[in-house]
Amino acid sequence: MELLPLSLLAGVLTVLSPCVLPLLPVILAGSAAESGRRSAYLIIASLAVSVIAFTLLIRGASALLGVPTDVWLIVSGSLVVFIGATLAFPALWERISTATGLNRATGELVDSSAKRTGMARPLLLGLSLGPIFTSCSPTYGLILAAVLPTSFAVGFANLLAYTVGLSAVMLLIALGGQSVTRRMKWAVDPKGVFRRGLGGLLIAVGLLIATGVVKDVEAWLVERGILGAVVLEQGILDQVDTGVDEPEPVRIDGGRQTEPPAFLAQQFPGIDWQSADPAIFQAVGGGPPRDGIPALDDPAFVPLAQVVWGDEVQAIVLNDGVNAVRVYPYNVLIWHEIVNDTVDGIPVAVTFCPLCGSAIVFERTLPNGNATTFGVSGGLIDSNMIMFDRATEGLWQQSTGRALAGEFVGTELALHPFQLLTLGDVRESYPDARVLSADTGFARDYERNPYGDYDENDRFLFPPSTLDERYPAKLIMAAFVVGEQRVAVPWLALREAGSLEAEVDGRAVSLRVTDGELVVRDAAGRSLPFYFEMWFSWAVQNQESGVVLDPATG
Amino acid sequence: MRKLVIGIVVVIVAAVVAIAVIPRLTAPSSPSSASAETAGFSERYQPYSEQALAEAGPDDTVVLFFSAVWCSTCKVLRDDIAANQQSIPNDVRILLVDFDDSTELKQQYGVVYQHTLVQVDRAGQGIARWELSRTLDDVLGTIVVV
Repeated sequence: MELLPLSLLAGVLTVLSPCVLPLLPVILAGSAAESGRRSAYLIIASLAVSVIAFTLLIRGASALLGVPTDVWLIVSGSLVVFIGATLAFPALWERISTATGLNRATGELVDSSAKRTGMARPLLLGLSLGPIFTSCSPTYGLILAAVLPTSFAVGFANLLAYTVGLSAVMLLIALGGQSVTRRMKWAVDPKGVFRRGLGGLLIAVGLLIATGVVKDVEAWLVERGILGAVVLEQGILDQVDTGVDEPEPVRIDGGRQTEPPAFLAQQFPGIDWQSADPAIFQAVGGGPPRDGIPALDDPAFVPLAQVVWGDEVQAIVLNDGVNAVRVYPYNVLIWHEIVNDTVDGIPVAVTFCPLCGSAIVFERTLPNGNATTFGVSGGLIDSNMIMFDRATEGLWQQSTGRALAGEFVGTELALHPFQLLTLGDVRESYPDARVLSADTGFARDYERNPYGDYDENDRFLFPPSTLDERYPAKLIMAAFVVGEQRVAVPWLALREAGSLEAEVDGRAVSLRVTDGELVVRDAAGRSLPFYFEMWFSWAVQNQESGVVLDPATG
Repeated sequence: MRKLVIGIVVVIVAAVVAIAVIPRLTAPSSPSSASAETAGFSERYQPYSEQALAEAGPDDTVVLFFSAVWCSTCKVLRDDIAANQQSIPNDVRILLVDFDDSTELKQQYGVVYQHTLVQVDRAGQGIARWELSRTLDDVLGTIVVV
């Protein structure tokens, strides 16, 4: 609260600053034109109320941000012109107040025994100045920037103290103006030349305000180094311990968010968000809630011969070399995104994210050794699906296989080998394959793609945070990891080329595509697991450190 | 006596009009604020324009300085930046925005005070916002690490 006396002082000193320039002649002339101290008090009181109201309003109501400064000047200036006109042409004023009952109403509001004349005008005069009052006081700025956001009550108290200081000086000016008038008895005559002259002055000042000229005058003074009490006030602020901490910059990019998006917090109440990877705080809701896109457990399969879907349909294909080849066509995956299956005793999650074209098969064994099943959380990061595991309710990003929240934050799921083939390829190579049945237990039209031509067009449902323009955003890449290095290769170009030999971080890798099937081997001849993903989605994760191999450029 | 008062009023009105007109005459080519200090500008500190923003390098830090011409605390900072431009790091650009004339930018970044600094990326995406920096050092010291 050490700031309070300083706020009061700053209010007093404000009268010296150019920012307060439009107020002075209006207050001076406006009160000199009225008879009775009551009207001077009224002008200042309504000024104070108006200043506080507009300060808080502009601070708090973001809708008002859209109102250009000019508009406030015109509103205030017009009111001042109007008040000037009522003084310059008293007959007009009387007609207006009689016709509208304005005087009577405000007279009763302020004091029922008050003289019924001249109450509305001072009130209006004071109020008119609120919209254009902008203080240059650094103390006032400190109250707004540092105190109000942390405590409204303390901030408001300081704002009040500041306004009291400001009003006290303004009141002296107003009373001073009146005492001059009182000495000239004849000047009180409402139809007198003096009052008319003051009215004319107000009209002139009002016009200067409305046209913005008054701001030019202020700027002119400021440019010439007439800054009022700014230097003095800052000196005091430096010397005195105000007990106010320098406010931290407000992040407006969400980059430092520490709060999960509400939909995730609500649907995963058990998660400890403190320990979560901050990446999760950028998640957006894709539309369907948790499990709104139903993952398949214990899927049913039918013989390939029974399947009527066209040769061009792409599919994730699992071939352990022992059991029948299993085929998970995209037209079914696109509705379910995850199939929890077990192949040759290994629990796997066959996953496909339609918005980023990522096809990945994970082993669904958690780092603690327990198998889990995965579901679709409904959240997306850069269009990529966030999965959740049903055993621990942890959240996992599909494109990286990394846990972003929950017990296993930072760990990654193991990749399981698979092929991306068309049904045509499968019919040729594996006529005995078994295909994920359309009889999933869910009523979905597997002939229809709910995302339309998303794969082919260049639009996004959720624009990614960055776009790497080296390749078309939705070009499908084959991706794998050599050592620690993440690598991507344009898939169709690789398929076309048939093979690619390269070095990544000094390690040789060899890629070969035969009948549409990819084999990636390291220098020791070991087969590396891989997955597929649209370029933009791989690039948002790996733009900086990832390596791109292109058969076209070697 | 009456004539005297009328005279005084006329003089006051004339004075107000004169004050209003003189700056326009003395600085006819500077209707907008920022231009009053054109002398102090360089590549690293210049008035805001979409082009000036786009010219920033990919790793540059851009700070928009919303400043009103009539704002005296802003004037203190404007002078300090202009006087110390050589100490603006190579990867920092400060772009001066006229507070009274930039409703759209104010809306975009939520600027409500005449003396506000907004850190943006070169695509104009807002990163951080703060108010009332007094010196160039203050500004540079407040820039957040992205």
